[in-house]
Amino acid sequence: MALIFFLSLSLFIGGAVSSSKIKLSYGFGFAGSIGIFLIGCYTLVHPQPKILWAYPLLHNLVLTLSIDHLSAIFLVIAAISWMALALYSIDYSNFYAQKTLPLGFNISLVGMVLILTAQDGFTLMIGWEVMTIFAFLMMMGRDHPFEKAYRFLAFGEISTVFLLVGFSALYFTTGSLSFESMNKGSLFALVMISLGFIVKMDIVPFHGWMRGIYGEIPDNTAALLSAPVTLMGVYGLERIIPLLPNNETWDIILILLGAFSAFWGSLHAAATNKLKLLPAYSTVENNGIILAAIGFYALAGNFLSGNLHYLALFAQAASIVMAISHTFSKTLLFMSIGHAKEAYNVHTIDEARGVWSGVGRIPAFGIVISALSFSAFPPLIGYAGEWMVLETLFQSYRFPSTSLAFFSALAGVFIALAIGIIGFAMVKLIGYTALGYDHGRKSLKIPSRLMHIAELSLELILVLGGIALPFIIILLGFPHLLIGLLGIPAPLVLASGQPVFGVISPTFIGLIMLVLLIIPVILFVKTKKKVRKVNSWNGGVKLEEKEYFSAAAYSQILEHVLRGFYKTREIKDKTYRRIKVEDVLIRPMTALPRLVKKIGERVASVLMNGKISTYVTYILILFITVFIIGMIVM
Amino acid sequence: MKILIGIISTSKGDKLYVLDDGQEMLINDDGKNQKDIYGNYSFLKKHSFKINDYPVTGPGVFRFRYGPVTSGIREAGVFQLYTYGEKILRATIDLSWKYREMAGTMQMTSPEAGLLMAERVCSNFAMSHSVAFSQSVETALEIKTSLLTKNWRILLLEAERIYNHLYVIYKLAAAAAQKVLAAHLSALFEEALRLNEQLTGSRYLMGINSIGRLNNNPSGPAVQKAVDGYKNLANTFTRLYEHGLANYNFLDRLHTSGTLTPDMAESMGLTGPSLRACGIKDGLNTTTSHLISLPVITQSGGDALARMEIRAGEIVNSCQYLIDHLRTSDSWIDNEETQIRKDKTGGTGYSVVNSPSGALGYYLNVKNGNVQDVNPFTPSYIGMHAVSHALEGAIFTDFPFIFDSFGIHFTDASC
Repeated sequence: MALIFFLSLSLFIGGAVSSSKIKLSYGFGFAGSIGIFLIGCYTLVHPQPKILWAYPLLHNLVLTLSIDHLSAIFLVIAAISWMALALYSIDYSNFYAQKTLPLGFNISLVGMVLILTAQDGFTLMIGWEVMTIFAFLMMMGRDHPFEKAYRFLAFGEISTVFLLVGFSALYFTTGSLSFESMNKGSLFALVMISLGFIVKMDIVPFHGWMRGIYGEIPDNTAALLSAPVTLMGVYGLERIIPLLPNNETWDIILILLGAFSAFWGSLHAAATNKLKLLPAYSTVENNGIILAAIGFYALAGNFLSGNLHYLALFAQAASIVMAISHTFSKTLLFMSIGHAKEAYNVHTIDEARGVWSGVGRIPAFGIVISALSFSAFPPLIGYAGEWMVLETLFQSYRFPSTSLAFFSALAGVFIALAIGIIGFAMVKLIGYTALGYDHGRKSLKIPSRLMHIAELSLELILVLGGIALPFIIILLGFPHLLIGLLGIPAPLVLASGQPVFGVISPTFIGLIMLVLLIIPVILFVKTKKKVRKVNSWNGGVKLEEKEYFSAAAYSQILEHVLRGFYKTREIKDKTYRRIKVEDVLIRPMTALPRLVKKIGERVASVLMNGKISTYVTYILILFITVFIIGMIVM
Repeated sequence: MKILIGIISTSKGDKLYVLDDGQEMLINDDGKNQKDIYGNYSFLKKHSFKINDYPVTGPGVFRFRYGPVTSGIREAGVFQLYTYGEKILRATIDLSWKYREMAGTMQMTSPEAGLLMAERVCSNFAMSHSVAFSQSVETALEIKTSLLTKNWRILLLEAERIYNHLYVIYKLAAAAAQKVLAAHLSALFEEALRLNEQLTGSRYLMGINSIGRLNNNPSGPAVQKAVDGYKNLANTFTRLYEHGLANYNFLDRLHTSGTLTPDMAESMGLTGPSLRACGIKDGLNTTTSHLISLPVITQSGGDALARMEIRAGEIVNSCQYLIDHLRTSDSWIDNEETQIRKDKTGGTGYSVVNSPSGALGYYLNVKNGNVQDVNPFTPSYIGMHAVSHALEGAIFTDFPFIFDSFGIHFTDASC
């Protein structure tokens, strides 16, 4: 296994080295991802932990790479996304021929592999930095670098700082950076390390870097940032939560933060008219749901009673199913949107109408399937994941404390709202881009065979993943959550509580839908019913281009009703109007650079004013300060 | 208070057709400060069939075209509503779809043939058009009508007011999904049309009026039956309306919808219920020595509710007016006989009547016994400007309440 592991890493590095031959480089990335996928699959079936590599750096710091069941789950999820992205990028490289893209892609995958197999804080942080810096390099894949990409790097470094402080605190308490020593860690370490992962998941208010960036970066980069990179944050939390000593207050904060993030993300996904900002905000929403589920898992895990223990496991399973759903759906959504965007050479939902007829069936179907999955449409895997999270939160009454029950139920309210609103946003995306009228617009003919294979593969996985949910639940290590009920044989029914609270069987729903689909189709084909088409009546006059209902108009009622959240403003003069909504939570993030710049200018005007005496004084003060700090440390 | 209701192009320059406390007058358009005096001077001067035609652009802004043939608008007309979803940013109204060149067709015809055309400009206002046209011809030819004719014209204008107001309130109730109230009002509307038929032989009061006289004076049992009919109608309407006012779902849809301030209403040149709903009297009511003067109702809200309140009050008043005068119509002594000057074959005439929705006037010339230069001035043309203005800033669901509350018609506006 170690051989395949290092072979895969070598392939990624080979891909990076051969980045001048872009298609070959992505090919290396694809091959390396297959290796990682195989290792993950093998470990899922044989879940004994295996050490892949260990290097004693210091007497109490052994850098260790190993694979266990949790690593395997996330390696498989990430590898599927990487494979699809690598394949997609081979065709996609026709639009973006910069070498930095495949270089960044391959090395950031190396970073992610390190994160997923690290067994100590030091190795994890190396992987973390490698992933962040090379993902940033991918953002620079355009002809010219742009200033806003540095915001991503800044947030990446904030995440690293939290991890650094957290692991330092762990080392200070336990004298070790190994994950095994985490059970002796402090609350401070828990909070800091959790925050490090949360920042990477784009949870509010750490989503402030997204606006203005997603629309500019290549689509494969957007997919990587939104799906596998944020998945690393989920993995980090899943890894540390059972290890570090728990704290109920922090758990509740995680649940509420996650729920609010979900609500906020859905709200702004519904308002935006930008093609790639909508899925970006959907990441804030989905990762918020995942965070709430992880918080619930941690909270319920504190209690020893049987039904809360069951609930804790169910919440953990829910968070992982949601992570699977999000990673695959988001990868597919960005790939399909990117395909349409490049074929039409547009940026907004209104401009990208009619992908089905104008660009192609497969990317249109990709938008439909992924958006339906985010809208919790049965039997897709997104439906299973969101149902599981809601069922978890609905059982908050099982907590012995009223406050715990109240806050969990409150989170349930926010998440239920989020799921409703994101459905609204996704209907907009499906209705306008995938299935909308193409207005006779012609798309560019682009080589897209590999893009189609990548998109089609994820489309199949999303459909089959929902129907084969019991199989996935077993592989994830939660077979006891599956039962048989009301004539549906075990293990096809997923039970959310013990005693039974709620049940679903996506497999059964899938079968029913299949039968209900097949019979009408057979009848339709057999009877050869004639389809009678009529043009819609538009007052007796042909619709002009400017008379089509716009995507912005679709969201306007929501922006008006929820104007308190959106800070909706109308900008108007005699012949021009527009609605402006604002994400108020990114205000501090945009104000901070301005403040830093202002302070910098002020300081510069005082210290760097061209006077030799000022410089000498400055250097002298600096020297004395460093000297004093050095003395204290010594 | 002076209200400009139209601008007439003549060979001697433009003339302003002005109502001064209900009294019509022509003023020479010297082109000085008229825009400052009359807020509607510019659009009446331009007299475009595209009202408020200033497109709005912006991200997400699109044009929602309502019409020309669509449910909700009974006539061929187009509302071009610029919006970004719910809010109406601008309402351009295109009247051209219903333009039939009626005024042009009346040229060079005999006054009687012109009257037939005038009655058919807008069947809901047939009596108003008929009386205004005939009075204009009578002025031009210096024909003095009998007192009986004057009395009946005034009474029949009230009959027209009743069924029109019933129709407007029925439309408002239907738009607010007040199905039961709407069905009863629809039945009352039908009843009012039958009463018209009983009195005149025409459901829409066509064919009874003529130049200088009525074709036949209503009399006998038909009039007494009509008295009972209007009594029933008034009672039933009062009961229904009180019931309707008790329903907040209904009132909430009208309250603050399409509000006009008194200044706006006055500067646009509105008359009739739409002006009176802003608390301003237009002095349009006319009377004769036989008839008592009708009380003028005003409201201060300026919104759709105020306009409906005015109409409801006027239905009851007009019914009572008809009941009181129809009862005594048999005893009217006509001491002003019709006088026709045979030698007079030409002249200029103009006249305004108080139609159900405001001042409706005609200006025309008669030459060698034929009418020429027919200029109709209708409440609907000015009303369309007011609707366009009132719709700005409203949301789509308010549309029918705003439009219907003005009680105007494309046919009337685009003649």
